[in-house]
Amino acid sequence: MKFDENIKKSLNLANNATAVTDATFKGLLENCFSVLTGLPEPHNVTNLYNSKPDLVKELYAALLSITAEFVRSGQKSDSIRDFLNKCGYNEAKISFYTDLYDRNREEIEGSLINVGSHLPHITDVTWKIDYIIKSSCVDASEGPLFRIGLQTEKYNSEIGGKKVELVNFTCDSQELQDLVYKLKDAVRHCQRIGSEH
Amino acid sequence: MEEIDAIIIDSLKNLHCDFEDDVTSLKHFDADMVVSAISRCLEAMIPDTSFPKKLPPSMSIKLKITSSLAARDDIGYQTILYCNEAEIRRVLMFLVERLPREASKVAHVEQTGYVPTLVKEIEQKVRGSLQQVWVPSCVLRNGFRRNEGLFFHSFGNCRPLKGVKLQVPFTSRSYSDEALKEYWVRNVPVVTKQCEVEELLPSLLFKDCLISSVDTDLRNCFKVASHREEITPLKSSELVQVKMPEVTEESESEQKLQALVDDVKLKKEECVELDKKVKSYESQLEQLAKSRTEEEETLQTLLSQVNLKSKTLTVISKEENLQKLKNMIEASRNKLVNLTEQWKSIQTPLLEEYKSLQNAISSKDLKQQQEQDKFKKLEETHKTLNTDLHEKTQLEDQLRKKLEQVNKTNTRSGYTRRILEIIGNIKKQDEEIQKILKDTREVQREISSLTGQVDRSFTLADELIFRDAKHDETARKAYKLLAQLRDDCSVIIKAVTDLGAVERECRNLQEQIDSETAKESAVKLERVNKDLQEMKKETETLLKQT
Repeated sequence: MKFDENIKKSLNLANNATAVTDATFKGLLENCFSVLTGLPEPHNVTNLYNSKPDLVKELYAALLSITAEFVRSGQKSDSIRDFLNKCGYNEAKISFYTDLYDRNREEIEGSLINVGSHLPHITDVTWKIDYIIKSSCVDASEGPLFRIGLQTEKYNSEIGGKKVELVNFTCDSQELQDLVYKLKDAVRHCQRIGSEH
Repeated sequence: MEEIDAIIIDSLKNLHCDFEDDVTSLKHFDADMVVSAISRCLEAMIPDTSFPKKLPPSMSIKLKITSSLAARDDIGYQTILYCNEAEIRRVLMFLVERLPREASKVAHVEQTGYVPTLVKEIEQKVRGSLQQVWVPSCVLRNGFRRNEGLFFHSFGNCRPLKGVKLQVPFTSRSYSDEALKEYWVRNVPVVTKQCEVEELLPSLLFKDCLISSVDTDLRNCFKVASHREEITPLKSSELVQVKMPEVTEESESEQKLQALVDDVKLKKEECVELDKKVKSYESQLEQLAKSRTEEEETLQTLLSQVNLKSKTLTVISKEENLQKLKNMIEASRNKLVNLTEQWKSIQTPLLEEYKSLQNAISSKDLKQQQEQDKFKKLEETHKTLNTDLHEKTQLEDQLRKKLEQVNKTNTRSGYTRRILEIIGNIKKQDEEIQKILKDTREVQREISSLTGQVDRSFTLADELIFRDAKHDETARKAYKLLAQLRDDCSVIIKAVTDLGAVERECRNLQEQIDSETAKESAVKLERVNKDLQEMKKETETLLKQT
């Protein structure tokens, strides 16, 4: 966990008791955590400006940045306490911060996880069996044909959310068996990892 | 007995039997507890099996369960349902002795370190996620849920990493620009308003644009590039604009005109060339003028030198002047030497001072460097010690917890002490028993000697009186009385021995009675009767139902 010196300087602004009162600091923190968890801001920031809007803006940005960075690097509240101590915060501010942090950490982790590119996620399967009775091709495979449709979820930038897409494929019974065995193998492997010790 | 009960209850509690804390001996066990204890033990011994832990209210099912449990050992349903303390103790001792040992073994020391803890965390997560109940992903917000930890199901909501360059005021830098300050105070929106909510996190964490406007080197680079561009544009040279003459009717005149135009063009070109020539000549002229002035200057300097030299020659030609000059040179030389000596005398202490000062500075620098190094090292050690301390405290906590568990389960020294005490007690009791045996043997020996004495004294008296009876009438009477006395005495002795036997029998019977009353068979019989009636009722209801 390494931060720019500039961010530390920005955080130091909170020690300026005239520009940033305790109420302002608390309001900023509450705003910060609810924004990072994806909720609307509980306080209007313009009401927190007091006499120095630029200071408050800077402090707010710094608080948001360090909170995101703390969660990203999975910090415990002890090390956060150390860091804020170095920034010269008093005990009341630190405990207020760590309280909020402990309460919201998992939610913010959730929002962090939702940043990134991933393969589509399977949610459901539809299937049906076809049987070739007569074919004009000589080398057409015999036996039933399985038509599998994997229902997947993928992020769609047009909607700005997840969209259900169908991945369709066809296979014969041997290939299907192979697929099922491989899936079962994966499940067994997971269970073995979970059951050791 | 209490010791054994404590051990049994302790090991049963280790098997997660939820007994009340005030249960301290097997006397307090009822049928329910016995069932749960036995089934837990059997589950621990035979993996992948499950037995009922509680008895249902219905009597017949009770009977079924208990007989199924009892079928595994040499006990019957009656042992469980109508429990007898001694029998339960026997059964539970048998089961506890056969429990697998691994469960009670002291847990192995866990490794600490990044990779083992990571692997352990992965295992825990996989285990946790395998135990989760399936939930359709459309129900979940953001594709995850919280249930003793985070569990991710769907990455369908994941938007690709894309940030925005955020404008953040930076007030600690001194305001060089009032307009910038005004912009920060009035116009810049708060960071949360500068981008969409979803884009905020990536923009905060990752700076897209690493090039900052403050970088002077970069600015210079850009300046050079733009300078070159200014040079390249073509000179829009004085393109000759030729007015086309007006068209006349005759082609001849046109031709003439054309010829004239060509002529004019030629003339123009010639003119341009001549212009160029003029320019070049002019430049040549300038150069020539320059060189001329230079030459003139050199000429003048040479002339002045010549003048000086001729003057000196005239001066030197006289003898006196030469001598004077020589003297002057000597004097000035001496003066120079003096001055250098003086300079040296002044310079040396100053130089020394300078050197010493420099040395002092360098030594100070060195010291500072060393101290800085020391400080850095100390900081590093502080950091490592801190992390060490953290790990150690965690380990300590874990170990303490384990110690508590171990203390609860395994007071080995206590047990051995108790066992030793018990052995001592047994020895004492053995000694007492030996003493009592000796006593009884002595008493028996006494009794036998006494009976022998009695017999012998009788026979002696008999012989004596029998000898006298032939002659004496009173002696005959006495003999008769003796015989009677003998009979009576033997009757008394017999009565005494009989009394002893009866007393012994009495004691035996009393013991039997005590043991029977301990079994509480009357109460149990009542319970059995009640259960039987219940069974009958249940069968009746079942019959009615069918």
